[in-house]
Amino acid sequence: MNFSSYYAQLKYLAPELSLVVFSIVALCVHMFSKKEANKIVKFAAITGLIASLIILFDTPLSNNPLYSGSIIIDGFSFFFKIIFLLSGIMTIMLCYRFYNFEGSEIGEIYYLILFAIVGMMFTVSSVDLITFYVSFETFAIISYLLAGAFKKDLRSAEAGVKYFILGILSSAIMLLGMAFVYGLTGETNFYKISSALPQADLTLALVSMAFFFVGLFFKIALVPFHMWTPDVYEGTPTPIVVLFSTAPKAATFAVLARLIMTVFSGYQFQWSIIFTFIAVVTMFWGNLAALIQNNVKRMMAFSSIAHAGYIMIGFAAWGTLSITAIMFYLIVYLFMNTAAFALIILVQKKMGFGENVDDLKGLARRYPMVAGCIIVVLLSLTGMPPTAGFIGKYYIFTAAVEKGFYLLAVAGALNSVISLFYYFRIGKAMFMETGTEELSDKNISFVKSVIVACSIFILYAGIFPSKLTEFISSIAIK
Amino acid sequence: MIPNNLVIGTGLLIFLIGLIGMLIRKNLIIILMAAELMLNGVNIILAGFGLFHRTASGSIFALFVIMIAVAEAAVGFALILSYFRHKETYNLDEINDLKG
Repeated sequence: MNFSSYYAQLKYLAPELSLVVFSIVALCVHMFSKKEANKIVKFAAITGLIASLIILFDTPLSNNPLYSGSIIIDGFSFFFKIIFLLSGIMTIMLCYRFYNFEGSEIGEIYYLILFAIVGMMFTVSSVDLITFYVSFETFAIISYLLAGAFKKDLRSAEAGVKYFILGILSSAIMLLGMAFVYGLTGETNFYKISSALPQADLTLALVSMAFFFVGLFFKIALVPFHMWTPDVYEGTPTPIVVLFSTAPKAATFAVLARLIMTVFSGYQFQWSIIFTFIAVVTMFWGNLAALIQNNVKRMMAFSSIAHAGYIMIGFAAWGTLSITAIMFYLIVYLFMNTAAFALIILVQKKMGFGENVDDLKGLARRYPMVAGCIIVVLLSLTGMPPTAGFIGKYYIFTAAVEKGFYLLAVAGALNSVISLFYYFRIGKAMFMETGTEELSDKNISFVKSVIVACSIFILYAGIFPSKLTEFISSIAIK
Repeated sequence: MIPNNLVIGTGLLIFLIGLIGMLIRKNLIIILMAAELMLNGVNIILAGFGLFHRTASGSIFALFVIMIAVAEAAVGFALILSYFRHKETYNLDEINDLKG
């Protein structure tokens, strides 16, 4: 392969490249100008995300690996790139209100978010160990920075340090697993490893697989690698949590799907057992721990752990049905979680006050439309019809039953019932209790529009799921 | 010629020292050093496997890991410093303001 074909392949990377250009522009503007430049930086960031989304739809797809077999731009990665860009756009929209009541703005986060999204976009496209490791660490390291970015708040600094220490520990263990995979096969390409790994020693292959999964499970926050989640989510600025709880998780799930399709495809029996065990433990732990939380941010942290557990059911019962279910659930989860955290931003006050369930009292009287939309979101999080959350859970449980994992489906349904109790607490506080009347809030139009848009999507995908399902099954990896 | 087992064994030993250091030490700076030790242990393992398979990708992988390790150290020191400005401590046991 010569250089001219490398240039010709650049057209496949147009969305990533445009995002890089915009983030460098934002970086330079922020670096060389005064404090008032934050508006320009924010504008450049959100323009870059929207431009990248538009370019993404014009980018050709190819089922053959590009760049000497290190990157693949297929329908599967296309779908996940949509999730990341949407998550980034909504995060920046929510930043507006957050930094308004905090009174000081950190301009760095806008281009850091862009760089992190570039890292995630390359992660879902990578089919080579080296490309995967570099792009995975790109967004992982930026996540540590984003968690600690709000320097004047002690809680943010602490969240950054905690996330960093646990993150580098897990990623070093994952790197050891990758080194073993390379050592067993002598290859770094996923497809070549896939054909070479079955000849290797079974025990060593399983050990390397376990090490590899540690890093991924940590990023998804599955029990027993979830300890960082509540602390980091509580300390991190809330708009950043919107990004943390959706985009990196989706990226890691995509990588996990690609790995079990290629590298570890010969060990389905073994990883199916691991995933089954982890799915059950994660669901129960997340939902039971969420029951006793008073801080809504911590409650939603445990709720996101539980949702990762539901998605792991799909991974345990791997098949064509479950891959569609997982992708459907992930995009619905993006909108549900964003709306729930947007609610927290709406009621939050300076320096982390107003995050408790009691602070939601009487919200229905203050913002009736928002409260109505949040009811849709809460129903969807619980998994009740006619919302998209119900359809997502239905697909996942159907996939489990089809593969004979009856107990797993029963455990998932049982957990939906448990989760009803704590989601209902939020609804009860909003509608049935009266709180202090205070209407001094300005600049909430962006938060409101995010919540309304999310709930409209959830209702639409819940009532007419067939269109989305058809789209997903047409681009899912075979 | 150094035997391959020795190279990979040395790498594993260094990785284990780093892992134990990260798990039992309480000082943030020492923990950062232990993390670097883990990554460098993996680098030696990668180079050893590259030698074993007679391919260059092991050493190239190790080069990229070095690059990531530098970025990680830079970010780590920045985060630890920004925490130190709030509470003058490096002790992991005293980082416990977030609790539910």
